[in-house]
Amino acid sequence: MTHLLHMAVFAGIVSVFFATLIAAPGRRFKLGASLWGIMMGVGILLGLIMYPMS
Amino acid sequence: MNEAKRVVRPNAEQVARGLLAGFVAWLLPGAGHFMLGQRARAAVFFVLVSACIGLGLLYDGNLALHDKIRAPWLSRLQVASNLAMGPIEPVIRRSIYGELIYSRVETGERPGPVAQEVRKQRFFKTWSGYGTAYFYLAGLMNILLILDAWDLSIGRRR
Repeated sequence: MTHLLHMAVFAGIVSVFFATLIAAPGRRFKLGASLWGIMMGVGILLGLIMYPMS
Repeated sequence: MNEAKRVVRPNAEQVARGLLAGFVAWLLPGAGHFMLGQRARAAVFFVLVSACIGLGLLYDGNLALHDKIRAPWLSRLQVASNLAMGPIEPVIRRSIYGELIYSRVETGERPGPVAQEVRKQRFFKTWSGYGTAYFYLAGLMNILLILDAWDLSIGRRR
């Protein structure tokens, strides 16, 4: 659970950064939320594949 | 519809401004964007990079050492990403290891320099891996900020 929390914070920082860097002012939230969702999804998937029993 | 891309060459003034903005961005994360008038974005970038450095310190993160034997190129890139954090990097390195050490010293069975031993002990702390990742993230984000400040200065981006 702590790992998941850390991953959420890490993905949050990365997604806010890229949303601010790349997106136009009106589209930042959408890009940030999409990036965060993708990173969390991929992270959880990889976690389940690599550590199925924990 | 195949319109050839128009190549715009930056003039000397733009290049000088871009180099200055890049250097200022390296000195202080977000300062390049602040200099170019994008103050709100500069504040966000400063907070994000500072948060990463703070979390790196909080979680006992390690800064990279150049390892000539095991990973010469990868470890060189790791040190470069740490150095991209700006002038605060040597300050952090000295504060957590006690001295400025950038290369691993191979000593075989014997213990290495004190700073290297401190680094090894930090590696086994609970959240050290996360802290190290935050340090890398801070440096890599700052590299992108430097490049973005350059692009903004020469008019490649708005």
